[in-house]
Amino acid sequence: MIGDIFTGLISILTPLSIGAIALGVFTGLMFGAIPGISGIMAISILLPLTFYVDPLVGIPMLLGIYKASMFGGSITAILLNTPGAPPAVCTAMDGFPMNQQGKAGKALNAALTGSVFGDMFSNVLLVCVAAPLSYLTLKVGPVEQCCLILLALTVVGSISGTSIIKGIICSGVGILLACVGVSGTTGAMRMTFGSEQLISGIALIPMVIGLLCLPEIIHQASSRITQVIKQKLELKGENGTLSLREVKGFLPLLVRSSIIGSIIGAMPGLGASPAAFMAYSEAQRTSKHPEKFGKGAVEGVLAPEAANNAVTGSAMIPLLTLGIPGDDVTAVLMGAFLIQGITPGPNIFFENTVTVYGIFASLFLCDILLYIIAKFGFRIWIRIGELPKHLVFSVVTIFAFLGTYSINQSLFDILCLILFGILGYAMRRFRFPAGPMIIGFILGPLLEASFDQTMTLSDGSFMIFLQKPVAVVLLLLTVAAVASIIRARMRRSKIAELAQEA
Amino acid sequence: MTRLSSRSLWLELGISLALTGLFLYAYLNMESWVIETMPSTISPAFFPTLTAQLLFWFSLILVGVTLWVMFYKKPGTADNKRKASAQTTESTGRVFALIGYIAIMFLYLIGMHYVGFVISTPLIMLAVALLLGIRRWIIGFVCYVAFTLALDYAAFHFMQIILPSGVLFH
Repeated sequence: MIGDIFTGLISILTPLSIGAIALGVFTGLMFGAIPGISGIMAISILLPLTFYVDPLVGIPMLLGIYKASMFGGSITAILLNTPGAPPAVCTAMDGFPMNQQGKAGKALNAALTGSVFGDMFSNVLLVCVAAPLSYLTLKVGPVEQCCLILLALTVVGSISGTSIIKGIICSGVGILLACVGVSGTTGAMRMTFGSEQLISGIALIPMVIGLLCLPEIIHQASSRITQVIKQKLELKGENGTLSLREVKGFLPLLVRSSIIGSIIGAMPGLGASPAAFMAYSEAQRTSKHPEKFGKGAVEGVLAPEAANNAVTGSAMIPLLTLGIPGDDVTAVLMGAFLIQGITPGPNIFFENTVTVYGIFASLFLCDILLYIIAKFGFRIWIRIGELPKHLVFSVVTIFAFLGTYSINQSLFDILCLILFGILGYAMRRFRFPAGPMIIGFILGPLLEASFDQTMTLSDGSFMIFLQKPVAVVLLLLTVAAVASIIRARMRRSKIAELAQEA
Repeated sequence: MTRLSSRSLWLELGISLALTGLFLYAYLNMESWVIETMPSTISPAFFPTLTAQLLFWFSLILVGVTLWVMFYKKPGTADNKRKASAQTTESTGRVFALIGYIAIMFLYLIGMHYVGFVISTPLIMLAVALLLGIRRWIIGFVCYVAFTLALDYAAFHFMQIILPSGVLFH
């Protein structure tokens, strides 16, 4: 394993890979710093670019965006009290009061330190846990894989938002859309309706950009963003920096928050926001001065930032070892792997050893570059955050169209993009979640392929699912996961009803 | 319940009913939408048929849930969030922007096909910017032209992507 780690490290230390990571980090920070634009939009827009480059150039670039946008969200949270991403809500609770006290520089430095620490911690955990776990999951055949994908689909229950039924419908529609075109296993033509373009199926890129990016632009185009207040930023002195001594003092807090973030990140479907809230409340509980929280406590910035960034590394554990995307960002990242012909799952460590360890090394490189680029560019991110809306969204629109066109150089993909954009907006308007549809679209073909293989092995008998102990365990886990999601949702809705009545 | 939230519920009921009908139609016709090429253990229509059937049942549950919310939830307790979002989203400006942006997207598709990327892109960027309230549009347009030319050059020379040049110029 040590040898693999070194091989991975060497493979990533090329000018192209380092440049791609730097570009990813820069883009992530930029998109994170602009209110109304999220990291997932940046990932979906740049996803087509990975098609043209080596996996060790394209995927690290997307990881750089993922990590940097998580921190980028805190820039607007601290300076404008407008969280750039939902996990940065906690950061705003103490970051903005710090800004009002003239300590914006210190708050930004604390957010960056917390983010990089959380990132590093979860990366170490990923390297230590993922490879041994993959050895355990190596003996996974088509039967087990089929059950594993069913288990992965239960993540839909956690990311469905207000209605689990809507989430299930969306993931089902995703699976159905993935069936369009020539079947990979039988060669049958399905739902093509005589159209030549539909024979090759619906591409992932127009779907991802259409569902995630265009609805956001439409939303921003039709709503007024509050005027940006010009910031005066002090980056020197006691109020502008976070000293090494202070960081040492906060080390137990950083470790605790990173553990919380890593554990929550490894559980599919939870995401960064609960991690940030949990770390914030834990920091307040264990603080010597809990009364300072909400009034500009440095711990109130460090803890949620460490936790929400720790999620990024550990979210890769279920993705890489089991092929389970925990949320919409990891689903898009899974799409990036699939574009490169790499299927995340138990076999990835043995079929693509160099690539996987190269990606691990790139995660560390992302953190180093994030620290350097973010630290020396605070003033730039603030200026980027002040860019006029008409400039940002007109450029984003063109990149969305260009990115879609670049995959097959076909105007049919552009038509798909527009249709998915309209569908995405309607879904957003009526609160049908887009994430489950993408997850269904990605996992659908994998589920069908493993199901077909299973049926061929068993000659059409479903009893094969009960003859393999691992498959039985996975099916039981699926049932348990469904029951637990339903129970948690029922409890949550009961609490909400009681609160409303009160 | 306010007029708006009640309207949203009726819309939701309509959507769920439409989905139910659509999935039932897909389920009933799936066999005819699949053209088999070789014999297999499991029919290639099995997986999409099963999915369509499940979707039908879940959308039927959604109809039931929406009806339950409409008739059994107390006014005011049904969905405060829904009310709030409905009130903020129903503005005329929003509808205008929505229609405007969708029209721009379709115009861009048509423009790319007929006059190509280089001519249609700055115009579309300007249209989006006007929709978003640009003031100095002449300076903006010059920047958009420069941006388009740079993008066209980069796409061709660095990514080997030939952007549409327009059928009118062929």
